[in-house]
Amino acid sequence: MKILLAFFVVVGASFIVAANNMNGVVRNYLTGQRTREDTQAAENLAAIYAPLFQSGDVTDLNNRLQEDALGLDGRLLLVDTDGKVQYDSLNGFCGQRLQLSEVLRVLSGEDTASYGMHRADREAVYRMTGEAEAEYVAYGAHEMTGSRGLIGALVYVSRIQGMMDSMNQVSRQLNTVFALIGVVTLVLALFLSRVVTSPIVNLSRTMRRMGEGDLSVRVPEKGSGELLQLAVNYNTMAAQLEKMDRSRNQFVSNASHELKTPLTSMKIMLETMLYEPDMPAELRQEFMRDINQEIDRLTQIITDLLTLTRMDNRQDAMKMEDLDMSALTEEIARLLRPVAEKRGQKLICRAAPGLRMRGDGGKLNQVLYNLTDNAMKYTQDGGTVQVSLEEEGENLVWRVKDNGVGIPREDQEHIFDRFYRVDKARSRDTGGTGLGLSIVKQMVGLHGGSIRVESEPGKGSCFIVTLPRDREGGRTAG
Amino acid sequence: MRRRRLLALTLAMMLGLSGCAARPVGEDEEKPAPTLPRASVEWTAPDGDFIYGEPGLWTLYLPSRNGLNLAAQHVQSTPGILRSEEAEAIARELLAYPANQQVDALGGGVQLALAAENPVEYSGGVVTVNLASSALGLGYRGVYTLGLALASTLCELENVRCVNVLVAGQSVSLDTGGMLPMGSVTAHPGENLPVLWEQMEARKTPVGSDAAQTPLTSYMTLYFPLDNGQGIICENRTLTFPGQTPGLMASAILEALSQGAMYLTGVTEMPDLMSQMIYEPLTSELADGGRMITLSFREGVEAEWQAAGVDPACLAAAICYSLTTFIPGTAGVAIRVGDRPMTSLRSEKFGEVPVLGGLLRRSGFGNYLMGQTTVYFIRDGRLAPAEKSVDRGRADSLRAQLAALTEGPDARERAEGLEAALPEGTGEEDVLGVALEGDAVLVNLSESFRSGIQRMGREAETLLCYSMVNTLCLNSGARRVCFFFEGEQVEYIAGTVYWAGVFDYNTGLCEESFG
Repeated sequence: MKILLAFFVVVGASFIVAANNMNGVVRNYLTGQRTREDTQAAENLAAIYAPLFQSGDVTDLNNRLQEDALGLDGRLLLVDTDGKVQYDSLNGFCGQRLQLSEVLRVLSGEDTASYGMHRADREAVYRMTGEAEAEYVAYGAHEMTGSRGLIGALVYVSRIQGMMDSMNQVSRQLNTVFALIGVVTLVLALFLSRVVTSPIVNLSRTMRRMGEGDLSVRVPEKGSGELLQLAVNYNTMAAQLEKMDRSRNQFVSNASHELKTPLTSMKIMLETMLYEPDMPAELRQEFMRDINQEIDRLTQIITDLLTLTRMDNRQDAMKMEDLDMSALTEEIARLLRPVAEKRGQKLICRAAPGLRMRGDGGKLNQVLYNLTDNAMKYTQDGGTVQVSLEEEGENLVWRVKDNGVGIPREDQEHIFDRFYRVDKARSRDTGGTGLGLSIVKQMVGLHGGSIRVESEPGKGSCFIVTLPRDREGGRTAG
Repeated sequence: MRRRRLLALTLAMMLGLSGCAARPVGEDEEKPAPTLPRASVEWTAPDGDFIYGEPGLWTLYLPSRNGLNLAAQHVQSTPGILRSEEAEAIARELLAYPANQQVDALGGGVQLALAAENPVEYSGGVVTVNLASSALGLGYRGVYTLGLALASTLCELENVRCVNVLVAGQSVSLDTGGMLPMGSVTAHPGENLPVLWEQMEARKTPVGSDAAQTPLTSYMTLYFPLDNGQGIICENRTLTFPGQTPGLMASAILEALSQGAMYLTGVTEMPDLMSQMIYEPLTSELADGGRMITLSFREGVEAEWQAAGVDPACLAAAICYSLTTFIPGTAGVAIRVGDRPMTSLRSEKFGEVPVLGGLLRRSGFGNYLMGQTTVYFIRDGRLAPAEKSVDRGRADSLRAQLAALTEGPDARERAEGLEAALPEGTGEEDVLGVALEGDAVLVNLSESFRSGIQRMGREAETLLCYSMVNTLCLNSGARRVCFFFEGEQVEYIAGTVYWAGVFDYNTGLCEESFG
């Protein structure tokens, strides 16, 4: 509405300016032309009447004056150097002094000719021109010279009411035309603006509904150009938001479930212990061990959640430092080798020497630890886990490969989601919280890197982490 | 916020500039009206009557040495005199002009002079030159040539159209029979004199023929009585006479008089004189020379004349002047009413008319001859001319013209719609001075006159002013008038007319300019 109003104001002002200027051009042209004609007429007549005025040939002078005035449809007066009218084609001003600025200019020698258009009350104009209801009159004065120099002035009283009426009529017509064009323009503008803003209004309305909580609304993808792109982008954003909301809801649901499950289990065991005081001590001991385990598990879940939350809110500041990635890789392998040997698994580490990069050492440690630990967890006893570090262009690439159970294809795109488990029972048995890969992905994202998985059920999986060597931090992976 | 201010400022500038696209007509009406300086003139107010003129030249026409035509000679004029005086001065110059290599003197060996009494009468465009009796020594042709010379010379004056030549108060004959009148002579400069004389001779009665049977056509001057016994005035006409006898001429003249004036205004409607006469005009010779024409009217004719509004004295003067000016050798007229001669005649204006031996002579009516001046009164909002009779000696007097204006229109003129232009109560005494200087008339009027103008108001002021301007310019030949009031120029009186400066002669305000 503000834009429309501003448009109306600008268009309206433009039309007013255009109309005024057009009127001005027309007025200036007409008045200029009339000025030239009347001035020329006065000059010509002054040359004719000067000798008559000087010689005093009265009868001829009066007759010619009346004829010429009739021909010009005006009034002619001859004034002497004192400004007194000596001859008047209408005989009304004989003997009177003509106090006109044009006459004064000529008689004072200021100019040889002077012309002016005037507006006056109707009675005064009628006295001058004989035109009833006229408000405008023009006076053209031109000097008359004789053998003795200036002998007087010829005054031509020109009837310009007709010209003014024509100008006013033209002006009214121009104003009417401009007003009509302006109205049509504004109506068209209004229509066009509605056409243009309708998608925006729809978008706005949709956004409001979205703001009220309905993330399922979409805007129609109609039109072309920027508006279509805007609708497409908005729908993409809405889909993302809806997906994120679903993920969030899912996450909350999963988190609730994950938190509630051990609590429920603990409660059952505690109630059993409470209501069966005669429970065998061994059983009670077992229940206590299970409860302890569940508490550990809860603690881990909460810790992981807090980690993710901090990373989400960027509260977890990156401690960027120059890292020897080769040494870090070797160290993680060294730490987990005993665990692998306990399971009869082979943990192979192949890190190219001297590979360095800027990064947060703590987080990168956790990334490689989690991936290697996961690989070992999801590989049967006697299997093989390979950890490698290579340089590929400007990036360093970790590969953690196992020959374990593998990940079904339909689960591969979700394994980095929070609390997502391929086999829930199995991951609970292995002590997993369902947040490990989410944390890995977040941490890799903070370094500007990426992680993907290549896996085939029954044959094993390979997690590939790509890290830019000089990036100062990175985006959190979405 | 800043953008809004910028937008508002831009819009304001656009709207402001659009308003400057054209300057509305009449925008300068707020400026004060200009004023002109007070008019000034080069003259001072006259405190009497003067005519200032630059010396010029008079043109005299005299017979060329070879006698074939009239040749022009120039003499220094006498400036500052009235036209009536000018005519006399010119006539004297002409008569006295000596012969030279180009021209002969008019008199030849005869000493020409003007008569002592009424030597030159100037009235209504007619100049009557009364020569002393020595002119009779010129002979017929000489007299005729003298008449041509006088006519050609005097017709050079503005408004003079013809000349009557008298010798000792009588018309002269151009033939031995004494019957061929010269009539009123017009100008003939450059024409062949012998041819003109032959044409004149061809009109006379052939030898052995009856003059009563010889018709004659001649240009002559008729005199008519003015209304209200104010005098007489003349008009020229071409008459055809059935014969060249005094009686026949007299009858024809009386008949022409009875028809009334054709061009004059202010003259009395004439009675049918011929029907009032009981006898044909009789001619008789006088003992001391000259001819007498007797007109016999029926009894009671005087009462008829008076009842018809004809002043008997003025009628007698008109008849006497008409007959004596034309019919050669006529010394006077005798009027009989019934069977008795008219022995006394009285005019209210002019007093007793001298009637010696029952004869009414031209000289007895010398002061009856009036001049006319044109004055402008008002009719239907325009200036309308009227002919006013004035003493012929003052006919071209500026003061007389203003005096005629102050008198206003008479009854007849008022009946014709004429109204007075000047303030009521003003008279000749309010004209403190009037002068003709070059082409300008200077008029000095009294304070009383100025107050009268003020009383008349704005509406009447313009016509009041131009009635004086046009009257003075028309009669004097001037082209402008300058007014003073008690010796000073005044700018405004009633508020309309700007009285300072000069006023040009302007016929635009006259009624003949319209329609």
